[in-house]
Amino acid sequence: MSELLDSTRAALTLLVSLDPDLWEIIGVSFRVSLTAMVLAIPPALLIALALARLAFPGRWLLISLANTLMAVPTVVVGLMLFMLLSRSGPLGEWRLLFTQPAMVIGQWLLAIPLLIAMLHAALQGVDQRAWETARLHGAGRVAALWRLLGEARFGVMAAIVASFGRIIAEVGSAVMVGGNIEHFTRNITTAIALETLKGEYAQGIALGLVLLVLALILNLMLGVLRGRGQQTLSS
Amino acid sequence: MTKESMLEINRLSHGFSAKPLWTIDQLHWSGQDMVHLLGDNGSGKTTLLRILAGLDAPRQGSVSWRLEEQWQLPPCPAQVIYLHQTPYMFDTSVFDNLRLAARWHGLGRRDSQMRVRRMLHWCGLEQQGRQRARSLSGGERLRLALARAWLLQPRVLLLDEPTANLDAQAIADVDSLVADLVRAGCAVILSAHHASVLTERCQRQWQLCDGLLWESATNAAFMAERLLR
Amino acid sequence: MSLPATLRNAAIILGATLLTSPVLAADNDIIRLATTTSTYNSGLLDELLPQFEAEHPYQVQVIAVGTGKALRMGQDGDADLVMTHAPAAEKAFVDAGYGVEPQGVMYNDFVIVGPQKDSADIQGLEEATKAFKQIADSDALFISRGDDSGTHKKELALWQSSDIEPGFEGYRAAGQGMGKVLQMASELQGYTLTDRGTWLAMQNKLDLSLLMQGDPRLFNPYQVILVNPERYNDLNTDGARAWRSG
Repeated sequence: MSELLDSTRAALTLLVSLDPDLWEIIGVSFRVSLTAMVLAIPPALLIALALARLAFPGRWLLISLANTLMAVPTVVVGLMLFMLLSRSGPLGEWRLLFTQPAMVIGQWLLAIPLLIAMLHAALQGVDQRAWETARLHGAGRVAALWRLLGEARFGVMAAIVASFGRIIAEVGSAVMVGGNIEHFTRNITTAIALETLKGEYAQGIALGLVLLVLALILNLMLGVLRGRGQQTLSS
Repeated sequence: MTKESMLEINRLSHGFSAKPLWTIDQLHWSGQDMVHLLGDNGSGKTTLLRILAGLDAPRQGSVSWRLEEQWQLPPCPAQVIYLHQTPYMFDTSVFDNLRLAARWHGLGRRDSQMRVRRMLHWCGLEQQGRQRARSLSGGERLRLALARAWLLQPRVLLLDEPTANLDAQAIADVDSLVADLVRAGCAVILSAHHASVLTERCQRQWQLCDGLLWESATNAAFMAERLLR
Repeated sequence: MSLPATLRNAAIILGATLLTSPVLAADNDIIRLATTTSTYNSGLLDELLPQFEAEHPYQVQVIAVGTGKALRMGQDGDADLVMTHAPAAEKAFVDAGYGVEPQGVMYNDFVIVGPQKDSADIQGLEEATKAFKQIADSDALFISRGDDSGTHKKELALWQSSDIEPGFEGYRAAGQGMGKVLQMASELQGYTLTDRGTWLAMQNKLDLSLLMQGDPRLFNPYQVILVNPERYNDLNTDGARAWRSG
């Protein structure tokens, strides 16, 4: 019990004293996950809009696929990506394995299905009259789609927040294609998973606290957005 | 009537089952006289208006509008505007609901601002410009929807049961706006279940009954013609 | 390795040994050898056992557990001899009188492996410290276990005797196990220090070459210690002695 207390106290000291190693790890996590989000949002938005507005063959297949891929364990994504990026794999020439870009790709793959499914649900929730009204008032297709996004903005933001929460907390893909290399690809989750084995409890707890606070903030945001979103859709 | 028609309907029918909900063999409308579309619940008034606006496709037949020189098929965005029974309010401020339409219409930033302010004044919502559109009352929403449509100066307005849930004062407010529209040359088709000051303004009746559309001039039209002579 | 897996391994060994035992084997035909899981995984016993059993009238039961547990089994008389590579703990074991006649076995020494093209040019060197220096100086990649394991400690000691601060441009601390680190070295075409056992087990799957071996600094001393026969009278000390002398 006293060890737990001591470790926690040491963890808080690490955080408050801006321990460079600790904050470097936190920086890697945020850089990788934010990059993955920035790269995932545009294509996911396009696909979700297409799913919501276009009736093309295979539409329901795509929706089911997104919903299924949401449940794929992160280590499976990591393994597939590892085999692709390995020197003996088809993309081995890219020399991306055990780099941050590889982690970005892994998290991008994890974020895309969740984003598509949630964005599609958000757009689907917008009243059909919104599209009709915009079109009748002279909005072109692009302008009307843009308006739909505006109408669904709380759901869209909720999708982004939830996806970011998923990828910054994932460890399976990050450890497989990142490799937990100190100063390069060691992020919050791989550090917690592997460094605590060495008895670095204080660092583990400090990083855990960061994730916990982040999760709290993200969930509060989600709660607010869901509330606003329902208010929006019902009126 | 010698006036040229603005709307032509040919062998139009619609319905979801084998038997069409209604069939309109031939119909011409000059757009000069305001139309009151009547019919029982479920007689297909909304569907007819939606087809005229191009929001739904008919099962058979054709609708064409002559708004400029040429005949054209619906939809005719910004020219033939349909207002839903409860008009959709974009989830923005009252001001931005109008500004969105202005921007879609291709107006520049300054022109938009000016036009929006004029419309706010016209529909009597100057004080509520910054308010969320969805916090407006039913009557205010309808006035905003009319202003949003009129901002584009459409040739035709299709109003679907606008007065269904409004009190007498709100109906009177809407009526004075519609009167302005008609005076400015906007053709109006109004579907309404109940009689009101608005329906009294109409000079022509289209009645959907037993799957057919019956057309007649109203007393008001008759009186007007007599006065003209 | 987790405890259940360890137990399962031990059970498999025991089971296999029992099944192949002559039905009427006398008690003193059996030698109970307590050793560490890493020793077991290194493949050393696979090499030694068949040869020994062919030459001697003994059956060897291998019990693979953690170092502490192996020594404890010797202390409790549950094994006839122990085989570990933890010098300090072994010394205490002998000093306390639990074990006698410790003897070193040179096996599973460390080797330095790296990319075929060997940009640091360490192939054929005789001193591990020189090899480390050249790796650091040539800006080649070096993948470190970085996990406080025995191998990692060995590596750190080697950097220290080479007067190099680990943390140069190409130094990558992975914080992972030997297998993962070898895989990483192969993917990134870097150098690493590995124990020979893991290297032998994995080399076919790796795009790496064995570049440097044989420096006494790279040796990894195992000790075979007989359990003190004065403490228990039913030990198979003769068999244990035979095993120890090969």
